[in-house]
Amino acid sequence: MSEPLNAQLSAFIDGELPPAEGDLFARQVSADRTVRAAASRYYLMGEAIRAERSPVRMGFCSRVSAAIAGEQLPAGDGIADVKAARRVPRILAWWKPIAGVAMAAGVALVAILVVRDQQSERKAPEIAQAGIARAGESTATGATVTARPLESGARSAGSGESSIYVIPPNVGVVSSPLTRAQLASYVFAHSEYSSLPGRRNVVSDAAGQDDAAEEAPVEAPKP
Amino acid sequence: MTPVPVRKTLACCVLLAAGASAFGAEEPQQLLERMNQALTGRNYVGTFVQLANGRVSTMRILHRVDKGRVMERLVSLDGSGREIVGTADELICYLPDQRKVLVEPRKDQGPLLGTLPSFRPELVGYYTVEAKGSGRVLGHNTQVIAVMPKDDFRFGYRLWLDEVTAMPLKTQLCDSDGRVIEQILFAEIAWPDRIPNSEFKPQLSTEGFTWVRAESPLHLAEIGSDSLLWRAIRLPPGFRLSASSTQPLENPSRPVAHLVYSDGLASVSVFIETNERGQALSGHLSMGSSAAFSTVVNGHQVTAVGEVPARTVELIAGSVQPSRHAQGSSPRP
Repeated sequence: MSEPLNAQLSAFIDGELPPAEGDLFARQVSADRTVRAAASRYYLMGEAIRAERSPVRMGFCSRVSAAIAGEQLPAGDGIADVKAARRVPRILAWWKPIAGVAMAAGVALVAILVVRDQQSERKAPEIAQAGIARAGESTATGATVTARPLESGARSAGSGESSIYVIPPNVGVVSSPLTRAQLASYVFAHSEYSSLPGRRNVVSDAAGQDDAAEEAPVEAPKP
Repeated sequence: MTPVPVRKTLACCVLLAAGASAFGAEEPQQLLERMNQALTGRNYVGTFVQLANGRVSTMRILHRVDKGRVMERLVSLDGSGREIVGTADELICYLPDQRKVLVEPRKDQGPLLGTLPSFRPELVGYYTVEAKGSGRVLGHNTQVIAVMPKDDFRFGYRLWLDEVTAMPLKTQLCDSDGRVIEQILFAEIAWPDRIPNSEFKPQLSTEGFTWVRAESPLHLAEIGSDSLLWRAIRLPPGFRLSASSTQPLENPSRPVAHLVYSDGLASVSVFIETNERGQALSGHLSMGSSAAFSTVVNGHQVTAVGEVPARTVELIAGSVQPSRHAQGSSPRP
């Protein structure tokens, strides 16, 4: 691609294009497979850069980059190639080949399998202090749990559009409590209850993923 | 020339001004309601770009409402060109890469693009809904609505709604700091009065494809009430049990208990099934914008999934226990 196009693409991914140009470029992305592929690479690079504080994440992004480039993926850091789970033509099971592959190289680039570590252990007291409601109060009575202000977790409403993207926290890859097919089944079953963007995500993932992505490394081996 | 009575002229001016004022002052909640009506009740054809998790994908959506009957088609413009066609009764998924066509009875009638739940008054405790001014998307004037969480147990949205149709031309999923997690942007959209049937036919040949029809789901009444034996003991503020069922996901002989907790906007599903691996593994997972946390409780794998921050699914999954009725018995499933 030409340099101007690259610059435009980079600005588009970062949300820095003026609205009119953004619209035009979105059309170009939607119409041109080459631009789309390049956009994915830029987007991924952006994620890798933004995740620089997490060494594990960087390793993960490297593997993702390799997956996109179609290279042989190194089995290391507790990651190994896995085949898709056996497909069973039963209720929701047929979504496994669809949603299951969403765990692979595309959306599933972030299918990170981690275990609880000190970081998550640290969260527990924070959560406890944050005014967690007791579920029994709501489920037993059917009434809505009364919210209490969260001192530690409270945030004011966001304002304006942000070009900052978020990398989910990652705390070390050891092993997976679930197969990706299980998770895919769960996510799809949950989609019936999810709201607009999430639902779009699940449904469009289902439509958008191909078998080619299914060989990507997303599941950790058993210890 | 007949003079126009001054009183009548003034009355017209007042009415026009009132109309303009009402449009300009439309409450954000009203706009969101209009958005839901547009997503479910209008014809539309469009292409949208989705940016999430290191991937840019493009989809074409067609949605038609004809005499109350809804037809939808979602086509991937990437890869092998998978398609999902939704009728009132079925979802049909065409997988050319696998040479398969999968058919499932449609359980919910919501559009493939989804809608936001109605904004109940009690949500005010957990979210702020604000008009964020106007902007231009795809050459359309839009009103920007932000539905932002008041804590970091849930995500929020920013929506650019077309002023005329209220269609969400741009959508962002955001965390409590307003940072974007996922973005969906229409590259083109039209609202045709009619969309011919031919538009809902898949563009690929299914000759030689295997057709797989999903079995009817088992419902709670048919297989008992195992899901009622489990509960999350601690929940983030505003979340409460909104649904429970037992359904087979992988193995029909081993149904999975499914609990849904919701604050009215965000929702978390909890799945409980026998832990056949025999390993007490616990950890975070994610898929798209969905976070998951899985752990083992009383020999059962308990997994919470939802479009919420990781801490929320961890909190909920970590607090799931057999209820008092289940104590001392061998909890199923």
